[in-house]
Amino acid sequence: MLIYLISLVNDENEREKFTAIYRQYHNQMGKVALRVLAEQKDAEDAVQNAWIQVIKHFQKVSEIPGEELLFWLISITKNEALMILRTKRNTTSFEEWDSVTEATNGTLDYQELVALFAKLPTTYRATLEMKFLLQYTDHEISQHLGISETAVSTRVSRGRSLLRDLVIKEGLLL
Amino acid sequence: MTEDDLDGLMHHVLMDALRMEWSDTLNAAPSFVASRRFQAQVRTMLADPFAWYRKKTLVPSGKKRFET
Repeated sequence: MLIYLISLVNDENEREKFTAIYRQYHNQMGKVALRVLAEQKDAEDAVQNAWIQVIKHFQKVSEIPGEELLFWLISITKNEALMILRTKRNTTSFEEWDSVTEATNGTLDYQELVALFAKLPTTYRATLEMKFLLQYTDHEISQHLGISETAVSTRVSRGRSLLRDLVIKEGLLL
Repeated sequence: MTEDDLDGLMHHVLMDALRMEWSDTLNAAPSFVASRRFQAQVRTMLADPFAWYRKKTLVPSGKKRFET
């Protein structure tokens, strides 16, 4: 992996590709970090951490199509910003899964389903994004979020079950 | 629905949730203006991304010894 990374990023074409991604998306990443953190220095730290992740996963990044890449980068930046926020507050807030999922008794269309997932507790959503968008391993997610691999599995499993139940219950046509 | 179908749907739902949540900010918020300190870091990063990455993620040798 290390040898691959060295050869990859040292390669002039790949460096140019990285620079192009930076120029196209750094402004949006900064906006995202600033909305979460409000303070300039914290936002810059979050953006820097996000670029570290981009380089670490550069093979994947270079294969993501354009429009998806924007939201891939937003996901990374937002989650880095939330981690800084959590560290600053020095708390791990109690995240209630049931209160979110109980609100699903009525009929849902696709947009409401999306809105429901947007409201999931922070580490649940971060875990799902890292698993299904960023394709991190459970171990990487665990290290990154500071939760156990069991907690990662629980969050992934609950997310899948919620989605499966809603699709079956609502008969969503996909 | 197979597990692969479900995971594919999850991907779309999460992507659309990000789009819904962040589109206004991306379109309306003022541009992000980096500080001079951050701009200097970015110049170093763009000059050699992997060297910058390695420096940023370097684990001090003392820490490695304690961990083993």
